[in-house]
Amino acid sequence: MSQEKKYGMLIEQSRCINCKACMIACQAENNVPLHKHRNWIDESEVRGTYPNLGIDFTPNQCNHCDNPHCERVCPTGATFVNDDGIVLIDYNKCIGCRFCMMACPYDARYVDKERGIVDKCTYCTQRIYQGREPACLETCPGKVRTFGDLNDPKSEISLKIATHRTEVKYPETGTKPRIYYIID
Amino acid sequence: MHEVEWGMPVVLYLYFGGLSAGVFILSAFLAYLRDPKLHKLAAFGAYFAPFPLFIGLFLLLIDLDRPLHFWRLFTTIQWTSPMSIGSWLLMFFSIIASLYAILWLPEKYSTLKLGKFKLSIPKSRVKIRGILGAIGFPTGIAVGIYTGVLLGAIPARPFWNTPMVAMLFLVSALSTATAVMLFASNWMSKNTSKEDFHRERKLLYSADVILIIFEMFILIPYILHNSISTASQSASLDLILGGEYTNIFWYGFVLIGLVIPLILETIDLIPEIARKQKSSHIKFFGYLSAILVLVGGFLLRYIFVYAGQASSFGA
Amino acid sequence: MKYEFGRRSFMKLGSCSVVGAIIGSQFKFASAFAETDIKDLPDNFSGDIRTHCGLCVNKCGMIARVNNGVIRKLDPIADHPKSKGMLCAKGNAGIQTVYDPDRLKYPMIRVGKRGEGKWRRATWDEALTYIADKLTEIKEKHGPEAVLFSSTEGFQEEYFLRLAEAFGSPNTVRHPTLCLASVNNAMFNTFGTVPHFDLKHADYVIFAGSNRLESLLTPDTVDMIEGKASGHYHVVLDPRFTVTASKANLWVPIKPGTDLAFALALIHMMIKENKYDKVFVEKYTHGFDKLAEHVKQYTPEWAAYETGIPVETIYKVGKDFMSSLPRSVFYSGRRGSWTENDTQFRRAIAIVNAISGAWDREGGVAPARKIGLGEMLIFPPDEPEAERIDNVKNEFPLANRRDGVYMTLREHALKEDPYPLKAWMIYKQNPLQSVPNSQKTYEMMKKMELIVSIDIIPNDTAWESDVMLPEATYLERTDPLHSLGGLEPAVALRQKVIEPMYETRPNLEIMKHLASKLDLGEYFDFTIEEWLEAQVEELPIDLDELKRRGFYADDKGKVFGKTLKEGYRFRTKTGKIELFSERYAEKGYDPLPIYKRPKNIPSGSYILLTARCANYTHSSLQNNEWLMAVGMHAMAHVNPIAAEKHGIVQGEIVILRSPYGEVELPVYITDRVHADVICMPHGFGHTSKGLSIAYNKGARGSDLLGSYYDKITGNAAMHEDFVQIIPKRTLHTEDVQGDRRKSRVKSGGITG
Ligand SMILES: Nc1nc2c(c(=O)[nH]1)N[C@H]1C(S)=C(S)[C@@H](COP(=O)(O)OP(=O)(O)OC[C@H]3O[C@@H](n4cnc5c(=O)[nH]c(N)nc54)[C@H](O)[C@@H]3O)O[C@H]1N2
Ligand SMILES: Nc1nc2c(c(=O)[nH]1)N[C@H]1C(S)=C(S)[C@@H](COP(=O)(O)OP(=O)(O)OC[C@H]3O[C@@H](n4cnc5c(=O)[nH]c(N)nc54)[C@H](O)[C@@H]3O)O[C@H]1N2
Ligand code: SF4
Ligand code: SF4
Ligand code: SF4
Ligand code: SF4
Ligand code: SF4
Ligand SMILES: [Mo]
Repeated sequence: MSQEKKYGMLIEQSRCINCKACMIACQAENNVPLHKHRNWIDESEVRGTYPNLGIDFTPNQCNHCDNPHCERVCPTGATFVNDDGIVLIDYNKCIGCRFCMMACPYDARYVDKERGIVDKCTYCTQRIYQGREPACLETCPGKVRTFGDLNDPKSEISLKIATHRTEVKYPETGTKPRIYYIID
Repeated sequence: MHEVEWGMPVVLYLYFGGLSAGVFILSAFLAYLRDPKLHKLAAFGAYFAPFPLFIGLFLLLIDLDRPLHFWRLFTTIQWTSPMSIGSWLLMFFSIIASLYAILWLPEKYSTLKLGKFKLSIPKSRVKIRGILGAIGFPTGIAVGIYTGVLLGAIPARPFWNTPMVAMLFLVSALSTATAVMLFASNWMSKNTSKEDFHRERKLLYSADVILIIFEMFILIPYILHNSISTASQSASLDLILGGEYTNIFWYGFVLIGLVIPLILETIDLIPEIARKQKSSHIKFFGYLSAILVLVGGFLLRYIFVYAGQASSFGA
Repeated sequence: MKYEFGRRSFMKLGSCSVVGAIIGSQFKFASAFAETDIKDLPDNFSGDIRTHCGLCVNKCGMIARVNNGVIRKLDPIADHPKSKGMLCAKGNAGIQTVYDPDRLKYPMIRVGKRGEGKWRRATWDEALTYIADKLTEIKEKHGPEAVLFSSTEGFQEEYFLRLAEAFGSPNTVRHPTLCLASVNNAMFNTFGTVPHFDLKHADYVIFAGSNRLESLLTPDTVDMIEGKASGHYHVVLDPRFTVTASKANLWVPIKPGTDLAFALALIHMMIKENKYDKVFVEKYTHGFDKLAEHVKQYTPEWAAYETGIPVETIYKVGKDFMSSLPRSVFYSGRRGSWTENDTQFRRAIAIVNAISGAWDREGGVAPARKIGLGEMLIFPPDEPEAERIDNVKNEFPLANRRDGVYMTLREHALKEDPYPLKAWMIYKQNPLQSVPNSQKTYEMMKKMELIVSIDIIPNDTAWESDVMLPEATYLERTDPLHSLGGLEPAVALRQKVIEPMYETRPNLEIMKHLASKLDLGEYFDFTIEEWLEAQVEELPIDLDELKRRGFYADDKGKVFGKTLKEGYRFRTKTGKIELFSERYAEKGYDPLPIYKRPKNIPSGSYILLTARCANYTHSSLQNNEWLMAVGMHAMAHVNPIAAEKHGIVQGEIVILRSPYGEVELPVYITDRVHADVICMPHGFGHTSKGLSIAYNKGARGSDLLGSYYDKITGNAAMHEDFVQIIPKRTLHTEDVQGDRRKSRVKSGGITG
């Protein structure tokens, strides 16, 4: 029985050096307008007391949720979940009401003023459907991200999830996010 | 989302939407009372109701990033989207409110001529008016609630995400509508007999006092609920309890929009209630409390729309 | 005689003998400069071209996706042995550098006063005639040595240096004495080579400064992250809590300028506890006994006092370092322009790695391999007659003469000692930002009758010059091949992916054209195509194949142990690894590193550090919109103790004042810096109005720094300066900390 694919991502944030290569790679790959970003790095406050300090860098982007609130609230049906689990926007249908932006707990969406629509990470569909890696993943010096099919137990991502302790962000919002973070 | 994405147009849309719904509800209610002395106010309400709504809808439309595509809202119904349902609701309501307004036009306007085109208003207008009022009344309530549900139904924004927001918005909508009526009643008082004017005032003041007290009783549990709820929800309260919106919330909305009008209106009512004697009704205070309530209602929308967007998980 | 030969012919060097043919002719060069670039691309070219990034020293391998003559995307080459499949933020933003509207587009000749920003557009011929006339005039009056040629590394730099040679000026000055001269000197005089570190396999690594996760260096940055993830232990000594420190197992906030004490104590411990590799030391090194005697005085307790590091920490690091041997290394760092005693500190690092037994092994320190390239045999110009103005030969006998010494050269020029400099040719360098003490640089400029800057943007120095010449960017030109040395070496080809925009040209064409005007055309009697053909001769693949692959790497991977074989002679005086440096002894330097305590910090003052962050290269990329949008606030990082002392609040604007100048910056109060230190980002505060984005953002470190330098190499010493901090009692208007919502575009200041 061949199962449908469900794409997801695994982020090993301890490897992230906050270099922002992924942000610029995405900007170039996806023509993201200046000052808008599909992915970003959260920098935590400095923890601890001098000299035992700590700081975390956490890459973020759309979680391609299983229960995407953005899709639920979209009044025109522009936002939809693709067969392979990727949450996409039908740019023809989008009217730019930005309700989805209110509804996304991760602030993953932005307005593309020029096109008059709201946009977000697409997992670089234009690349992955050609068998290439998402731009942010490929360019990263820390190789922080793993991308793949969550439904395939033998995929690299599934194996990593199976062998590491992982968490998702803000599960309490009920969106069932599908970006996993390794905790250690 | 690192900027405020819903700005003044949405604030005004929610505000005007609620106001229209409230005024319609009051008008329908006054009409239902079948007291001819109150008809003047009911008629005013009927004429007034559609306009803020139209302005609000217009603002909403131009606030879209692709306004020319607004029609896509009406090619589908998304049952899970408050905005989709709201859009249909507002369309329905604006039709009702417009017809209702037309049916309130005095007899001499019963035929509207536009070149060859003639529109005559049916003889049974009062009856139809009643029916429209009966349909419009719950629709109006739904619209009033909708303006709050739009925000409240979003788990992503802890500041919004309680059912109390919808209640608060509805009650506030009715309160601002009462203020509009109060304003109108003052304005038109030259042609109103003292007796009638007094009746109007008493009715409107009592209504508003009750609504304001309601608002306060929603606000208190709102704050209690949020503060003992999830970490993000209690963190979101910081916005009004020691953050960016604290002053405008407490001095603006609570003091100016609730407490002062409540005091002013109660002072006016006390003689009636306590000593069963007629109060002196200083018009200025009538205007003042109406304006303050309207300002307060606006600030409520403003604070919620802006602060809500600033609230998020893990903040 | 020589001229005859050079004019007529040049040859390519075959593998063992000259197999070249005569191709050139004296008639060719005159018309050649306009058509030398390798094959024209059609205007509407679409396709993928493999090439190499040119926005910093690393030269990462990348694939340019070109659509209809427009660069759409730059992707990393996954299996590149040096860049290991990464492309940093700058590399990705290279597109924006090419399409930056502020680019230098045409040759420009100054019409107003210097720095006033009034220019007129000129044709190449006009501009180069102007320059050539002036240069000839100066040459006649003052000799060719009156012309200074300064440049920073880059694939086309060699043509610039060739012009200097042909012109007859000994006065070339390059970036190493602003950067790594001390490190290279120390390594070379210990090992006879500048080694590389196998960070992917080293179990225990000590980094002093070397901010590898922000100052990106391939493959070290990538290997380091990989190594750390596989469980390696990293210790970072740095007065700042950098990203590198944050990822390390242990951050040791050391008092600036005292690292040598730490390194000496480490050697002390290794010898005292007999944890050094006796067999190795016996067999391969020279001067161990003297070393052992010398470091007896440098106890951990003493080092603790000097460095401000708790003595337990020193013992712990020492113990752990020794117990992981031989897979422990003390990383040498790259930019050694720290203190006046920097070379000795780097020598101590070299010595640690020499006695540890980590030499030339996996997980250790090993000499770089390099893949040999063919060379064009072109007749070298005459040796210049005049001596260098900076007198490197006598003042810095062990320094690299061709690189010169920036700091002392400027002193000589200001004093016209022993002769004046009258013209300054600048290639791919921004001395007003990168050379400490900008006031002196301005003064030196005043001495010049002609300043020419070859750049891609009107950077600060270009803006202050007389002629700005626009080079084509690295994506618009084909460069000579470069052999990238390393543990896994590669040959890098940079080929153009679009035709040069506007009237920009590759440097070779600029040099050719200028040379022809100077009557030196015979030195440039070749095309880039011919040059490449000659270079590729040595490789097992041909140029077409190389163009397809973008790079060439042999399949040997990391090879260790060559220098451990019987009979190998290290390129030192004794032929062994010199713990005791005979060359230093001979030239009168301390043959063993002796600690010198840094100057006392005047009360109320702080040591000024200037730092980089991952998404800028020096002063080069601050006009790149994309990078600025994810960039940093240029702020002064101040420790809370210092802030409290001066009553400074978060975000307040302060004046930083040194004896050489003052700047204004908002402060960022953070535990991330040592209480003795104030840190500001390097490469900001551009004064050029030609840069619409970078202009006047932040402040320039060179305005505050003095003129200190290392005594052995002349490397600028940039951490010897003190600044006072004076609050202005006004708040910075921009959001300093940034709330969460803005955090995706903010950066707490200097580091991430
Ligand atoms: N993103 C980016 N990467 C780059 C470059 C760039 O411009 N941008 N430039 C490249 C070039 S040319 C070079 S040379 C390298 C330079 O790379 P590095 O050699 O790492 O030099 P810096 O980045 O200057 O980092 C020096 C570090 O040393 C610390 N430090 C200062 N004083 C002392 C001290 O006394 N003791 C100790 N232990 N630490 C101290 C500083 O706080 C700083 O973190 O980076 C290369 N990589
Ligand atoms: N205060 C302080 N000073 C420092 C340092 C520091 O950390 N702090 N670091 C030092 C170090 S390590 C170094 S290596 C030096 C570097 O010093 P510089 O070599 O002066 O480095 P940049 O500031 O990057 O200036 C490079 C110039 O080359 C131009 N350029 C870029 N690409 C091209 C091209 O393809 N062709 C041409 N013609 N021009 C091009 C850029 O626009 C820029 O103007 O600075 C040193 N100075
Ligand atoms: S490219 Fe990788 S290391 Fe750099 S910021 Fe993005 S996730 Fe972090
Ligand atoms: S992260 Fe946000 S935008 Fe992405 S699917 Fe989930 S709710 Fe939608
Ligand atoms: S902005 Fe577009 S995608 Fe978002 S809710 Fe509105 S119509 Fe849907
Ligand atoms: S997967 Fe593609 S679209 Fe999504 S953040 Fe990464 S680069 Fe951007
Ligand atoms: S700028 Fe970045 S991508 Fe380009 S060579 Fe340097 S490290 Fe590599
Ligand atoms: Mo450097």
